[in-house]
Amino acid sequence: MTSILKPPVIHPSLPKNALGLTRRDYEGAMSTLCAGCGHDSVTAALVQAFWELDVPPHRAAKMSGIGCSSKTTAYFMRQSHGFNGVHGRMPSLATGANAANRDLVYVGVSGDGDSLSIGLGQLCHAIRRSVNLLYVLENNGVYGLTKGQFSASADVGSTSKKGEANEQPPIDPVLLALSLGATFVGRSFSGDKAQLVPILKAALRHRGFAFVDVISPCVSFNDHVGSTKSYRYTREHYESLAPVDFVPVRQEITAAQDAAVTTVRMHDGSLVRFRKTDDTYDPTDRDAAYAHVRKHQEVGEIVTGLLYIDEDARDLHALNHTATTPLVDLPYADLCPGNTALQALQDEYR
Amino acid sequence: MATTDLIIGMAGSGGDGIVSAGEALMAAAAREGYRALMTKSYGPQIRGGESSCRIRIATGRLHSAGGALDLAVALNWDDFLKFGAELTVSGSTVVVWDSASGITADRLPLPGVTPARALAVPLAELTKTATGSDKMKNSLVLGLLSGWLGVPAAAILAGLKKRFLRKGEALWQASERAFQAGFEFARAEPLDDAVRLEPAVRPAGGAEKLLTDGNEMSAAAAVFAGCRFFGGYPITPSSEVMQFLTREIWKYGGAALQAEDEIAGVASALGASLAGVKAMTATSGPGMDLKTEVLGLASMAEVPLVVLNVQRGGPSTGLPTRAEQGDLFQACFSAHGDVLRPVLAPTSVADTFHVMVEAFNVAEQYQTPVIVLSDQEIAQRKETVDPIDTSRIALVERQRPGESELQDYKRFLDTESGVSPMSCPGTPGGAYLGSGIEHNETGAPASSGVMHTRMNDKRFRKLQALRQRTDLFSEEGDAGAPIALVSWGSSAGVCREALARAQAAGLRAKLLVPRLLYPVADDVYVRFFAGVQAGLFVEQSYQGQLHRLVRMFVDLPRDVQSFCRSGANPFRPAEVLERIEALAQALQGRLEDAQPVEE
Repeated sequence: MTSILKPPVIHPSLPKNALGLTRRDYEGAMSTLCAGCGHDSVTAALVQAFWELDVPPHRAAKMSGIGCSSKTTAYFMRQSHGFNGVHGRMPSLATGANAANRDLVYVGVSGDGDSLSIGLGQLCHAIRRSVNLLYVLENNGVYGLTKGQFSASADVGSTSKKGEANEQPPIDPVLLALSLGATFVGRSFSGDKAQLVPILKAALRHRGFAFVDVISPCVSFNDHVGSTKSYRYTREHYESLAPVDFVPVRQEITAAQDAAVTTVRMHDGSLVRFRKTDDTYDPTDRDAAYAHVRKHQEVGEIVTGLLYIDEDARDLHALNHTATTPLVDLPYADLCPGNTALQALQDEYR
Repeated sequence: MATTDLIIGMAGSGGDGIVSAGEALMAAAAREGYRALMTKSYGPQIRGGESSCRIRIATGRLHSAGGALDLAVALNWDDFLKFGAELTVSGSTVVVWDSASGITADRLPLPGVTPARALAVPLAELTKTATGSDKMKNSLVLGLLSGWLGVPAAAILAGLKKRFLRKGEALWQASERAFQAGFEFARAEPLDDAVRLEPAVRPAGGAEKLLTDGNEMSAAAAVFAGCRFFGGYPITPSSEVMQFLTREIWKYGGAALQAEDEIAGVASALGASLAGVKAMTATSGPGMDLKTEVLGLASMAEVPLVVLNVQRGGPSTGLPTRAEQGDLFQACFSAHGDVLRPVLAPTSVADTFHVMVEAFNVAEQYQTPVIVLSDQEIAQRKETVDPIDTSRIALVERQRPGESELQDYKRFLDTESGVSPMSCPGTPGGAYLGSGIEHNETGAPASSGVMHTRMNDKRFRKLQALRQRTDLFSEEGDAGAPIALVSWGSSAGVCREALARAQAAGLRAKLLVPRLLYPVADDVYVRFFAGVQAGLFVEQSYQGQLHRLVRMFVDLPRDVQSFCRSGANPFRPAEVLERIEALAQALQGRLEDAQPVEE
């Protein structure tokens, strides 16, 4: 694995965000993934989302584990802090980092092997703890880095490149997240940037654990006829839920309330607007979201969109009553109790 | 003449409250200015079942739990006999038991031992007469002990009052009556001077000793050292560290996480350290097995991290409630690839504080994981400790990049010392990719052999300075002695006591106690063993792990041997003394053999 830097030249006509930065300022090193890899599209969507949200790059921290997906944190936001941990342990690394500095914007990128096999327990508990983190699961049903073994998200009947069919039932990360009480659950497709970017933006502004499962085909090992995670299969079985718009807090909201729009207000005042295509769908009803995904799954359809959102839930810091100042910013003199405090503490043992 | 050092052992059923009686006695003794040390043992039941404690009380310093009992109290013989290893009765022990058991002095269930004195006391009957029920037997026993040992009644009663008043006036009164009954019995039936304590010097106000154990000490040390994050998982015998920090760390601007498993515990601590705060985890052997992958990551990504391993018997589930010193190899070597990580070990409850602070300092200074090897004995034994004055202890913080270094920041800059300034995430210009993958100076992945060699060299080089830290070793005894002992952890205290006795008997011996176990400070050992003719490494592991480890790096004199055995068999000072005497005799014999034979 090597890292190839992109040329730093930026064309002066490129649009700039509120910080005066162009999208190129949010890019990272050259990808070493295969040409056409879904993950590179997710990377591009993340670049777009961070750029549009005007996140100062040095205030973001990118966390990942091991696998093709986990390599991608090197390919966006080179000016951000990155930590590429060990296999399946990104959620707990992110938990600790979050506890130490609550003011950074955390994004964790993982894959179906990293999240649903070796790191399944960690994923579940990060949801349970409601760690402030955008958790992107780049889901391709296969172990790409080790050349094509089935992963835990491979569907029954989906075949490997050599034609062997998977017989073990999959773990569906979206159903898992919904049943564990995740407060932000989305599913998208690396080939649908128009849908993915607003979901990522809303997820970044969510207070708590924001889970986004992205079907992200592996062109080398799982993009053939017979695979249920190929570009073609995904497009043919795509069932897009109400498209969402993300309206950041700084934009004045002028549009009149549209009957065809459901609006969820984020804790920071931003809005997520769901353009209704199905009058019965309520993105704040967990059971309905679960039933909807299951119903379409039964007929072989992949439901995508922002499936569930709960903006009233308590996050890691609320649950643990942590200090509002990031621990890392507390002055050392305040932090260290010193000898006087120790003497007082010792009184309890006399 | 009364004694200055006394060991009492007591056992009973779970409901008898014999351990809380021991705690009450110890607290009173501490208040009166005695030094005291208590170990407890329980049967395998989660609640109820048999329980025991041994308490050593002395007017001077104590280094170990000692040997055979001076006074044994068996509320019930069946329970007492289950603790044969902990509660050793010898020919000089005074044995007391409940006459209600029907066992008479001539039919004691102690094969091969005739105690110095055997006294059946109607414990249940006296308690019933005094209080109307036999529930307060432990208060009665405390009355007996107060009368016999000479620990003032007022000191014990003050403790009992504090404890029982909370549960109601009636209970406190019953407790007091039972105590008085025991006290009067002891006055009427005095024991000999061997179990009467010399009075202690009561400390002046404010200088009272603390009564605490190694687990609480290590947690308190972490708070003092500036630890802001604890991530861990409950495991015997280290859980008290997490419990203490979960309760206390929030008061000092920190956070504690009871994670879903051992891996998440250490990984969250690593994440917190990475984000800029001092962090630790605590566990025992089975947890260490699981934490290995994250330890490797911390070494590779050069992240400061303190990992406390309160050792228990192993491998696998092993002996969860017993001490062993068998995790040294694991601490040093459990990793794939070439890794050097510092390993420290405390030798007593008080020492735990200093070693933990040192662990944080080493972790911060060298940006490395540090393993602290405590053990169940030190961690869970209660001990009187002199108040700790930290005003002279220096704390170390990790090196941060300055303005100029942030201009072209290289996280893993290959400096002369091998230590590179570590930026805090969120710092403009300080971003880098930290990772478990081999990397170049900027942190970018690099897989060339040249870069791997260079980075391995940097990671090893930065820790070499530790080998010169002679302050992490203590040497006791006669510096020029021909007989030398080396001992670490809880065994070191036993050796200190054995050494003092050997010296008192006129033998020339010395003792080296390392707090730094790894990297092996070869110069320290070479100097210590210069001129030594015979010696012992005393440690509680089947293989004698420190002895083997030191021999990897140091050529020891031929007659330096290992005195080791499996865990759950704590050494007694007398047996170490016997070994020293045997070595002295052998040396003497060798000397005589070397004399020319007279015609």
